[in-house]
Amino acid sequence: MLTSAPFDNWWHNAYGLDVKIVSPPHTLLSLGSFAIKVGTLALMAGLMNRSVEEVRRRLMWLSVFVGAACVSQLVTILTIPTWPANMHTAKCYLAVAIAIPPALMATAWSLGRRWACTLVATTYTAIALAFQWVLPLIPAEPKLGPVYQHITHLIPLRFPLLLIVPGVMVDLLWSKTEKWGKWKLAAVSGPVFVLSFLAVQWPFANFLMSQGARNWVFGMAYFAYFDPAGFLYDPYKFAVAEKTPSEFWGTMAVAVVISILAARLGLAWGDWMRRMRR
Amino acid sequence: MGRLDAANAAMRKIPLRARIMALLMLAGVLSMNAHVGSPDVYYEGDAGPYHVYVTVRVPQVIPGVAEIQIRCSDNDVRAIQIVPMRLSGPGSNLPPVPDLAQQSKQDSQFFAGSLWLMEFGALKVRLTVDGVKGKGELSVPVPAVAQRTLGMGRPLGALLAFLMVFLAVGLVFIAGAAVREGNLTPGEAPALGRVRRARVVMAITALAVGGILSLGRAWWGAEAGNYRRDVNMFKPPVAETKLEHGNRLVIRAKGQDQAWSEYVKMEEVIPDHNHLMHLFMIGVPGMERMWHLHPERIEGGAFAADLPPMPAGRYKIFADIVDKDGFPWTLVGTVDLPKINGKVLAGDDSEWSSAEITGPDVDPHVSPLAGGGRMVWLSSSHPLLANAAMNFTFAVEDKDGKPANDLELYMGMAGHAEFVSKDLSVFAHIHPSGSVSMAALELARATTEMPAGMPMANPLANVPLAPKVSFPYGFPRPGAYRIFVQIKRGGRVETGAFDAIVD
Repeated sequence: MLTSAPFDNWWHNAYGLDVKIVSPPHTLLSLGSFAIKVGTLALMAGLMNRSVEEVRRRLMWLSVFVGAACVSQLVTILTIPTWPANMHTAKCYLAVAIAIPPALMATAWSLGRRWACTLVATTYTAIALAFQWVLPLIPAEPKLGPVYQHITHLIPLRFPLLLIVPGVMVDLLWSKTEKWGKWKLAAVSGPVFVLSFLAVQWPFANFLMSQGARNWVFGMAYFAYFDPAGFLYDPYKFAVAEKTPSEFWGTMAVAVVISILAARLGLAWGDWMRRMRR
Repeated sequence: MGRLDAANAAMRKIPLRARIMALLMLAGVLSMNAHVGSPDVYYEGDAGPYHVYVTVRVPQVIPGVAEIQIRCSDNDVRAIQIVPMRLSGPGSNLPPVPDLAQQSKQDSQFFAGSLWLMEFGALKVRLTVDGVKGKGELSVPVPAVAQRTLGMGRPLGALLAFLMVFLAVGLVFIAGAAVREGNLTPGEAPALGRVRRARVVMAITALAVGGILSLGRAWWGAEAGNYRRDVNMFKPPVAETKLEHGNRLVIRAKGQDQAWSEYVKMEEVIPDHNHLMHLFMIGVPGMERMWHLHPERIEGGAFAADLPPMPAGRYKIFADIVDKDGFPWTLVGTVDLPKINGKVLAGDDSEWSSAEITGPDVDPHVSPLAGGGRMVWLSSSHPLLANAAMNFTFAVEDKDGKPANDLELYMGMAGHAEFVSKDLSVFAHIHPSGSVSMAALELARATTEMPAGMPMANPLANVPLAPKVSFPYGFPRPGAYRIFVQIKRGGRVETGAFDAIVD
């Protein structure tokens, strides 16, 4: 994270202030932040595995929180591909299939208890909803221009992804497959995760783009000051990333295959943490 | 922040703004539009009851910080607020929280502040001046374009290279330690199998880290390419010329980036003080001749002018246009012409010719006028300095040496001046209100809210005309310059020319 500071400063001087999430120096910063969380999870796993019941229980909840923080960070990095306007593209589900299962399943698997995926996903949702509902209560005005939207309070990023549903589905699967090998488990867990996410997020995107979501609960009427939504583009229009059905289903097939590898990575990482002793 | 990326992603599909906002990311560039090689903005006008001289130092990169300097003509101003906005359209009506320009402790009539310019394109800086006469507002158009990218210095490069190697090697060793000892109790020695497995994992991790670094390098290159493209987008377009029927010069604009023509439609350029294009043809290399013509738009977005009689030779072309967003562009080109037997000049078209005007016997501050009389540059005895905001004042005398009393408005203004460096890398078309285009100024005024009853300043309503004309401007860099000053007397356009050496 410290390395990213001089890099980012130079980047601003060379290419201007990079007002975007995913740039090389920001990615380096994010990788550093993510590595700290991974290390924290590993250290807590080692301590948890050497602890007695009460300490172990407390550490478990801490692990759930850190795992949820990992998921939150990954979802933030995936802001663009998972933006509501992109939720009817296969690339949205490909991005989720690549990034989310490793952290979510690793944390859940390392805990070795029922409903662990659901716990992590629920905690992520709670964190995101807290931002969604609390930030607008804080008065604020833009301090940079040009200003495209009249702003009177802080603007939250967006409503959380419905990761609870795939979390529940994976937990249900894991509750009935305790004796399965890791590859077999990954081969089913990955597709269950990504397809159940597709099943709920796709129709939910329809709702998010509708009039009914333009309120404080779902936040679809919030726009940042620098966002010319409504002036230069229609924010409630779905983007088209795949031009043909075959391109869409081809990308979805890749997402399913990737989800298996991502799930296997998550299980290996989680298994390592489950056996952590140091 | 995600909204911005989403907005950017959406806007990249829109020809007009996409390239402005390609924020954005939006190479070493010598010059830029809004004149050529003269990026800073100089403006003199009225903010309600207060007369001010505003200088905007445009940042080298966008988004970047612009320096705003304001000199008030009187000592009656208490505070000046400054905000950046778009010049027109969305983003031109909602101001952010204003910044306060700081009043100089040594000079109470001087204020300075800084503003983030977050976007490429046609912006404006709105000033709200507060003083003993109440409040007044003024909007100054600012063409915001990046001028360069920064190379990485050797010390910083070495530091980042060291940190990259340190982190990469550290990651490999952490991965090895995690496999070798992570699942052992503290103090327990790893078995040989674990050690071997750790080595395999370290090798795989090293490959993965190498792959990630390669991807990062490619990504960095792509980002730099995108930014360079945005910078190129705002380089002066090339004026491609073709001579037809012996004296008809056809001019077509060609941007230095392929997408330029998607951004600027020549069919949509707007009039700037009565004309869609102001064409300056300067004889090179000596700059001993200059024409200021006004081509008409023809089919396909091209422009055409019927040339006056001109001797054969090479001419440098600077053609000013303003796009529909109020962004000023200068097309630049060179044309070799045969002897032209053209038509006599008419309307606002004008010409100037002289022998070499720099010489030991020539007063550089006096220029004879073709119709009799002379023009005198009222310069101070101080040396001319680059990047210094100045007022270039010229007095017009009749043939008897008395102040001329027959000056008229020339295209709505008391005068026009062109500052041209001898190496032709700088060209600036300046008016008595400064370096901003009048079309942009009108757009800025249209979106500036004025308090009820507050008269809007109108620099054009400068009649009866005094025998002096003044231009706010600052030379962008040291070197030799020629200044052409054009006024209108008794229905005839006259041009004075002066040479200047800038330190």
